[in-house]
Amino acid sequence: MREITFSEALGEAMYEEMSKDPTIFTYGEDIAKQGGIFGAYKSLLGKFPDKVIDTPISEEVIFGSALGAALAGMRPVAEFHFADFLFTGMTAVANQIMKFRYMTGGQAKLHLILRGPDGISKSAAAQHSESIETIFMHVPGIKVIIPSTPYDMKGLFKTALTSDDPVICFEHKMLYGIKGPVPEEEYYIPFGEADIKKDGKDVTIVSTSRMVHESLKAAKNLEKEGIDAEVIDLRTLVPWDREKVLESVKKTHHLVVAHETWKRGGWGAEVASVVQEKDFDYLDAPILRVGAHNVHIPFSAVLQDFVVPDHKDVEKAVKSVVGGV
Amino acid sequence: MPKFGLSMEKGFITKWYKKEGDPVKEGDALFEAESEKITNDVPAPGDGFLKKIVVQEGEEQTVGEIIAYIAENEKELKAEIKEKQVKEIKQEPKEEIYEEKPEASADINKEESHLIKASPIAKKLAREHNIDLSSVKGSGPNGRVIEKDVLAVISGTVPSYAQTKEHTEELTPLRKTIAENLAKSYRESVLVTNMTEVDMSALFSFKENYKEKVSVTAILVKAVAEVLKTLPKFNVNFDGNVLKIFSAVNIGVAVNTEKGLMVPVVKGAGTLPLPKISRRVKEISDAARNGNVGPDDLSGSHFTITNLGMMRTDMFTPVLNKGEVAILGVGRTVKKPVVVDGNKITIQPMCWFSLSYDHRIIDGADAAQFLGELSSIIEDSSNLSILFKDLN
Amino acid sequence: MEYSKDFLQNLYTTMIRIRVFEKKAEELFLQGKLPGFIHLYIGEEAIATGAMANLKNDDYITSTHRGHGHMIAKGADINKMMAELYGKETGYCKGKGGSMHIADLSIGVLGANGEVAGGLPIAAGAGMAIKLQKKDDVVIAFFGDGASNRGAFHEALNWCSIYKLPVIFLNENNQFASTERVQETTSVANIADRAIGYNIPGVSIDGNDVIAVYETVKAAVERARSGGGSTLIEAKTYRIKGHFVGDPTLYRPKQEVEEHWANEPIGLFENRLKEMGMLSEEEKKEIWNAAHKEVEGAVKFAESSPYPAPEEALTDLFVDDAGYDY
Repeated sequence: MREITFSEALGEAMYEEMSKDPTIFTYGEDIAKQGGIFGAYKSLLGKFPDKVIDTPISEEVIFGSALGAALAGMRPVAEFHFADFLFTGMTAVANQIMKFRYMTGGQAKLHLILRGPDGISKSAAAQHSESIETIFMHVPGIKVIIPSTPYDMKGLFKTALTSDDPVICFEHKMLYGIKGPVPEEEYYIPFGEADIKKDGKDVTIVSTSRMVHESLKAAKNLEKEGIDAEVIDLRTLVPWDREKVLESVKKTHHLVVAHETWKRGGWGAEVASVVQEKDFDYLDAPILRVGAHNVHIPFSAVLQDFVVPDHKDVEKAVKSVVGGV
Repeated sequence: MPKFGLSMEKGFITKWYKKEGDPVKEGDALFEAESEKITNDVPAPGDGFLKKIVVQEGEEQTVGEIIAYIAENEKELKAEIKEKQVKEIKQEPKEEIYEEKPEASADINKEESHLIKASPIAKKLAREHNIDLSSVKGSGPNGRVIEKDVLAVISGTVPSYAQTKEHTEELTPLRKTIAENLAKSYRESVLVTNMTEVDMSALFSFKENYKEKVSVTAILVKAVAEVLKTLPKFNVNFDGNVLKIFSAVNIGVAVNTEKGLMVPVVKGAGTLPLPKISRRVKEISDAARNGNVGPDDLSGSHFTITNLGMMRTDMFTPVLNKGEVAILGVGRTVKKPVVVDGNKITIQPMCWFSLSYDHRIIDGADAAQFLGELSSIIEDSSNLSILFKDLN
Repeated sequence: MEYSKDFLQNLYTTMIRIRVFEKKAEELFLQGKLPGFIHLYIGEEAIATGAMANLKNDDYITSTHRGHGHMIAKGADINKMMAELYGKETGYCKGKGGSMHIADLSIGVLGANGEVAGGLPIAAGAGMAIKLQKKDDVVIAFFGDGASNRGAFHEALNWCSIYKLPVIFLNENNQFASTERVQETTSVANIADRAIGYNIPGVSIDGNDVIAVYETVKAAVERARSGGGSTLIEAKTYRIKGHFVGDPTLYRPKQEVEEHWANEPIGLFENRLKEMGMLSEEEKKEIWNAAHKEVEGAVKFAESSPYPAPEEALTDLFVDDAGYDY
């Protein structure tokens, strides 16, 4: 199968759906002339000139206007530039977009997407490095997709582009450049369907985004030590595939949840909670979470490496869990 | 369940030689059963087929109750056992325990979770396989029992604590009897031990020069029998109320066997000549060790000798054999400097004799007299030869 | 207005120090020695220099992601700045902040800021504090043209206007908000015009003219110190470099940059000083050499400084420090 990059997969999803659906348009900062600060829209450069729009740095309006445009019959895809900057327009997201349909008794179909980069890169420091997907899992009202591969990016985003509910998509900065197999023909990946990225029998590792790759690396290293880890990529957090996780834990009896976002109150805690509620009798050890230390992402590389988890942290957690902690 | 000997009430099946459906011939060993005192092979009472085993290996049955059914022919082998008999089969204790009280088991689990650290899956597995978690060694942190620990027990690769503990401590009927008897004896008697050191040189030279090969134990049995004849209050049985004084001198000889301590009896030791005593001691000791001692050889003693002289024990306080009021413990013989003939020091083979007795019946002075008389026989070669010669 | 040679040469020296620092930072970044993003102030030195010449140590500024010039002009220690750019323990933020989050509270710098217009509400708050404490300090809030399209800008202007706070909003209109031209994203030709809506004075000036900046800010600062309230100053300039070092600048032709290079503030001021007889070639050399020496010293300092211990990442979240990572 041909291989394309993560950002190309996003561009293709956009291109294919925009070609079919004239109500789709996209806007944000630095996307039209430069194709996005991380090149996410590079493959859209020069195409749909009136549907790919550079906007002022006006986040509350970027997000809030997506709601208005959706209500008035369009399918907006608004870019948030950096996940950290969701906070700069957060009221439009949390108080407007996420509540509107519910408050108005289900009158509206909010076919809108907020998308953009999240996560660390190389020393982007505290205001350009955050992973804040958990917030959107906690506050009800938006579907959360957080792909880890070009294949998942395209399939999930095409589903988002045909969905009638608001969707927020987190694209990890370190993933835009990675290549992966993506078929030529169109396909859609339904929300709430986790993907088992590696089969295993001894321990289940649940993760998303960059940490899927770290978990796979960990699983490979653990294999040498005789530990057969199953790596599950949730792919979407709202909804999330509880059945697949529970099934896996029923098989392995051990669970590690790995995410880049802070460990405290991260979505891993929700997964751990549900698993112990439903699969308590199958657990052979406490569930361990791998997440960032509960401080901001620091600038200096030594500090960032310390704060943010990688495959070594996953390996450590898996070994403890398999050993009973 | 057949009855072996006088006092047997229950038998314990230790081994089945046949499986259900096997053909059997009259006289074929069908199973091995253990009573409190002995183990016996039980032969098939007639020809036919072993139809149904009611009492499995490791289970107990009251004397006279059904252990198995034997069908006379193949047709009968397939026929149903009559209802009444089926009922008896159903009373297997295991099933009763298992099905008895599901509600109570929830309580047990509750308690378990307070007391035993075990992972949820370990608890679930233990519940499903009826394993007592307290008996499983936990390899998790702080000794938590985790899944693999329980799986190991289930698969049999690792015994549970219970199996380790209870298997080795699960008493054989013999041991149970020993334990009960000793405990009863120790609990009820007022046990006191007097000791004296005896010069064995005369006995050894007597043994060397004796016309036949005899054992030290046999000589001691003979010597004790002589003392018992003169001190009949030691040649008795006492059940706490009634004191039976015997004229015949029956001396038990404690024998260490694989299955535990046995005390076969030399009956009529007071009248038997030394070579016969010696043969008899050997005979019953061997029989005890080989497991084919008859029940009658294990009962009826009035006094017991326990000889640890072959091992490293100098003096000890033996506990009374059931029903008796005294027991002589013989330690090892050690060469020591001894003052003889007023102020001469020589090296002599010395041995401690420990006489334990029930102070309710025997006074300290009696015990001292016993040891005195015994020593005077043993230490004096002329006494030895006179006493034993007469009886040859 | 007449200025002393010392004063003028001081302005020149500050501009040179900023330029040399920025050129060095660019060079080091391109060599791969500096991590993260670096946003350069090259071509905009006159604004920080002219503005800060009006401030005392206790006066405050809020800076931006393009803040090296502000720091240097306000009197920051360039050793600590450079060390922070390297992510070293001896940096202003002990390696936690990097270029975009440098702060020095001892000289009144309330932080650079990674968020566009992020400093404006902070400046408003500092203004309130000054007023409540009845001090004559002032705050200069630096911000770019892009920031003027954020709600925070509008809210802060209205706020400082109604409370008559000693806050000067100094807009550095370098024509680009990241990749986007100001005229394509902004409703007014002059950002200063937006002052009308908030009932404060608004003035547009040539941001490449250090004297013009100095004088305009001087008037605003005096008004602020005397209780006259806020001013919005738009200093028009041009961002010679990309948004960040490494920006492919697909959004503008190279020729445009070259045209503006002819109008960069240091060359303009230098010519003027020479015309006035206030700067000899020798003095110029001396100033540049001193600046190079100083910056090289800073690089040496930074490179010889240790990286922080990894566990240091857990400190500085709260005053009672650490113990919150669970």
